[in-house]
Formats: sequence, C-alpha cells, structure tokens
Amino acid sequence: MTVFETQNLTRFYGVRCPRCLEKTGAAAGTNICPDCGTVVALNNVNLRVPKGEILGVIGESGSGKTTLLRYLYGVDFGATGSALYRNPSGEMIELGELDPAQRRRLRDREFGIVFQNPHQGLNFRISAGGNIAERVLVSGERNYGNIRERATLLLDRTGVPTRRMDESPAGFSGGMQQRVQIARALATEPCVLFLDEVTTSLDLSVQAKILDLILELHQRTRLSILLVTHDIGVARMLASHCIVMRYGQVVETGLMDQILEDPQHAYTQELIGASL
Amino acid sequence: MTDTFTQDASFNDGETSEASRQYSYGLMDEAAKKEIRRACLRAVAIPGYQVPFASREMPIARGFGTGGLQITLSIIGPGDTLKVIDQGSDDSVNAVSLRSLIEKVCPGANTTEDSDEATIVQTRHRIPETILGEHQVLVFQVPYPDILGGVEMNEERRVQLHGETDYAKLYVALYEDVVRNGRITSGAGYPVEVNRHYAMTPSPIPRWDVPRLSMSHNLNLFGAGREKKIFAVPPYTEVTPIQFSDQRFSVESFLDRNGERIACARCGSTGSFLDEIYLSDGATTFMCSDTEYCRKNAEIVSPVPSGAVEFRSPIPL
Repeated sequence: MTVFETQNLTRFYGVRCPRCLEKTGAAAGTNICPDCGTVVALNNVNLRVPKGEILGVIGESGSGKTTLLRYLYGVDFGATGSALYRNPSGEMIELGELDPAQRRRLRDREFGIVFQNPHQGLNFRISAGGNIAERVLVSGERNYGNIRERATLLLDRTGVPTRRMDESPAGFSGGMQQRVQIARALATEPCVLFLDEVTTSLDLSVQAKILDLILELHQRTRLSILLVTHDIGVARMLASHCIVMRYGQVVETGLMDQILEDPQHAYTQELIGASL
Repeated sequence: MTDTFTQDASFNDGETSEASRQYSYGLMDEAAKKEIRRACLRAVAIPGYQVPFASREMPIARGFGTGGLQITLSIIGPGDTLKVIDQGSDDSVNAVSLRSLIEKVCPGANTTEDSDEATIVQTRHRIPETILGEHQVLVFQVPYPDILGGVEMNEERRVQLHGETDYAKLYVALYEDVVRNGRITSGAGYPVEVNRHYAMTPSPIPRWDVPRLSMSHNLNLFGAGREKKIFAVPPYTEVTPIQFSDQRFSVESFLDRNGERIACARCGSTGSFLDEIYLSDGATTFMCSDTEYCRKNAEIVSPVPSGAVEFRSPIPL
C-alpha cells in the first residue's frame, strides 16, 4: 500500500523548450537547460511513499527535494505528470485535479509539516499554545476547554514544558521550537507528515533528541512520513525506504539499508563515502 | 428614495448663485452615485462580502466618514429624511458637520433627530436604541473594513482566507485573548459571521449593538471610504458573534458594585447603552449614549426621577 505514487512528475521554472528534459538531469550534470535557461526542478520523478513507513529523500541543495515536498504537500501547483494520494478511506486522489481550497483542506486535516526554520511553521506573535490551537480550530473544534486540553496534551507528548505554553515560541530554544512545530503538525492527527530538514539547524545532542521523538511518534502512530534531508545520517536513522535525487532526477531508489550497503549510482557512492 | 435618481442633476446653491457654485445633486455626478449604488446592490446580494468601489474625493478628509457619506449621498433623494449620529449623539461635531453638508448638497431632503421619522440614518459607531423598520436604511461609517486585518497583514492572503472561509485565525485571536485575560475582552468591532459565511467587522459598534444587527428589519450598509470597500447586512440576515462554545460572547452589563443594573442618570433607562461621563468635580455618572432616545425617554418618564442629576455637558460650553 502506498500513500503517494508519482509518475513522471516534472516541474519547470522558466520558458521551457522541447529539449529541456533531455539536456538536463543527473547524466547531463545540470538542471538548467543550456538552450533556454529553464530550471528543471523535477525531471520525470517516479516514487512511491509506502503507507506507514518513512521515506527519506536525500540529495544535495538544488536537487529538487523541497520542490517535490512542496508539490505533494500542496503549496505548489505548477507540476505536470501524475501524483496520486491515497486518503484515509482508501480513495486514490490525483493531486493535480484538486483546486486550491481542496488542497488546503488536505493540508489542514490530513497532512502535517515541520520546516527547517521555525519562523516558517510558527507564528511568533502568538503563544505556543495558540499555534497549536490554530490547527485544532481548523478541524472544527469550537470549545475553548477542549482546545486547551488538546494543546497541553500535544506539547506534553512532544516534550515541551506545558507551563510555558502561554509564552511566545520566540523565547524558546531552537530544539523546543522544533518540538512545538511537531506538536502543531500532529494536532489534527494527520496521516502524512512532511519533514523538511527538521534537524539541520540544531546541534548534535538536540538533533538526537528530536530524531528520537520522531521515531517514537512514528512507532506509536504509524503515520507515513516524507523526510527530506541532505544529511544521510538522519535518513539512516529514521527512514526505512529512500530515494536519492540529483539535478531533479531520482538516481537511486530502494530500501535504506540496501542503498547504504550497496549503492549503485556513482553519486550515491560518493555521498555515502563522504558521510562515513 | 425611489424614482428620484434620474432627476435634473444640478441645482443652485441658494442666493449666492453663480455658475461656479453649482453642485450636482448629492455632490457626486450621477455616474459616480450609480457605481456606488451598484456596489451596494452587490453587497446586499453577498451579505458580509467587501465590495470594492471607487471612493471619491469628498469635501471632508478620509477617515472622517467619507464611506458612509458617499453611500448616503448616493441613495438620498428629495422626500427622504436623514438623521446623522456620532457615537449615539446628534450634536457632536462630526454629526453636525455631515448633516449640514448633506443638507446643502441635497435640496428637498429633510433632516431630523428622530429615529422614527428618518428614512436614512447615517451613524458612526452606534446603532440607535430605537428599533428601525423595514423602510429605513442604516449607513455605517467604517474605518477598517476587514476583520482579518488584525490577524493577517497581507491583503492578498486575506482575500484568499475569506474566499475559503478560513477563519481559524480569528478564533486564535480569541483564544489568545482568553489565555491572557481569562475572558473575551474585545470591545468595539467584535468579529461576527454574516449569513453563516463571511466574517465581518460590524464597524466599531459596542458589543451591545452586535445582537441588534442580526435579523434586523432595516437594511444595513457599511462604507469605508479610505479603504474603498462597501459591505452590507440585508434585512432579516443572521449575524452571529464569533465565540467558543464555553467562552460566550456577551454584551456590556453595566452593573454597579451591588450587581444592579445602572440606570441612565438623565432618563432613568435601564435598557440602553450607557456612556460614562466625567463631571466637572471629577465624579462620574452614566447616561444614555443615544441622546435622542434619552431625551424622548426623559419626556415620557418626566418629571425627572429622583436621584438623577440634571443634564450637564461633559465639557464646558
């Protein structure tokens, strides 16, 4: 069972010409079309996100990881090709056919996201509890007591001291801000969680704690996670499946252990060689 | 108000008549008034939706009621009777100036202080205590038309939020209010939902007036001249305050220390919105904010009830 399945997903930024696709990609060594200067952020990406598993998307900066995440999450609409999403009741939905309001509904109710930069995911002008309340509210809850209880529970579960829930996250440490983001993402009990470089800006000990938290949450809830990272160590710790991207293309795909033990593509070999 | 719009569009300004002193009826040209009436119609058709319009230059500064003024000038005609109030008072500078301006540029239209007599009531920040009827139009002067302005800075995003009726942010503001203060403290301009769809600011009317917008017999038109928006609450339209199921909206209670409802010091009313008035000796007293209602009530109740103070102007005249 897959929760996402894409076929020939392609995303251009620019004028595009008929030869954009063949002149870019991992083999061409660029994602900018030499003829017309179009950036090919995604070049015929095929992937499957298995239900209840963590799929790691590894690649260097500019390889198209975040574009892929933005399209699947539903804040980018310009891609061609097919991207199917299986909702909790088992229906397959073509993401490209949804209008912006329907995509927002998916984002609000069925997806959760944690950004690298907490400023992107949190509103620093309201309290940490308020940030979580916002997500609880979109699910239709209109009882103050229930909202408060839910926010307390989520913060507690993600390891944020609940006595600080009425403070702005601006005064929190980086690790705690990430915990608030995770609590916010989980507020509506999503079935897919998008993690965009969640530990990149944290120091090693805090990184380890956040990774532990994610693993623990995953084990308890069995939600599907799309993990975007350039840190192969993070992917190794969390992901069961993995794709490696370069210049907008998927160059390698498989089980995490398999890729680590026996990388096929030269770029993957280089990547693993560099990190170990 | 009907069938007067197509009449001869100009008139002479009394005895000082010169060609240069001629105004169109209602100050604006017919096309401008028509555009504003069309915006009003659209606003009525989509209750609570902010219709953009081309706000004209007025002989008063933006922010002094140009939105309400333009609506009034567009719908008024000979035979209409106009009442203008500012915070409930017929006598404040803003009300007096607007009334005399409209008198000057709309010959044939009468003015009054009586809420029952008026066909159009232009108001700043209050709804008259007297319940208006189906034949009456209430025109609000609105400073900030978008209720989402306080929670979302980007106007493009706000339009999107309205389009998707995504009002979680308004509830978050309410949540934060309760967290900080233990209850809802929002006073004037309490956020409301119109016809179970658009969130709207009722203009900064006190909470007291908010329930009176709902299912009103009269048409309510809101004009924001500076922000170039018109919106409406048509007659018999549901207006519900935004609230939590366990933290409810409530109107001002005006209770004294003993928990008893304070009465107006002038007319003795216990069923009207009160203003706290500072007397020259530093003491405070409460009087009806709606001066016309208060005066009428005082006449009925007269002689002056015991314990009431004689009316004194809050500022030395």
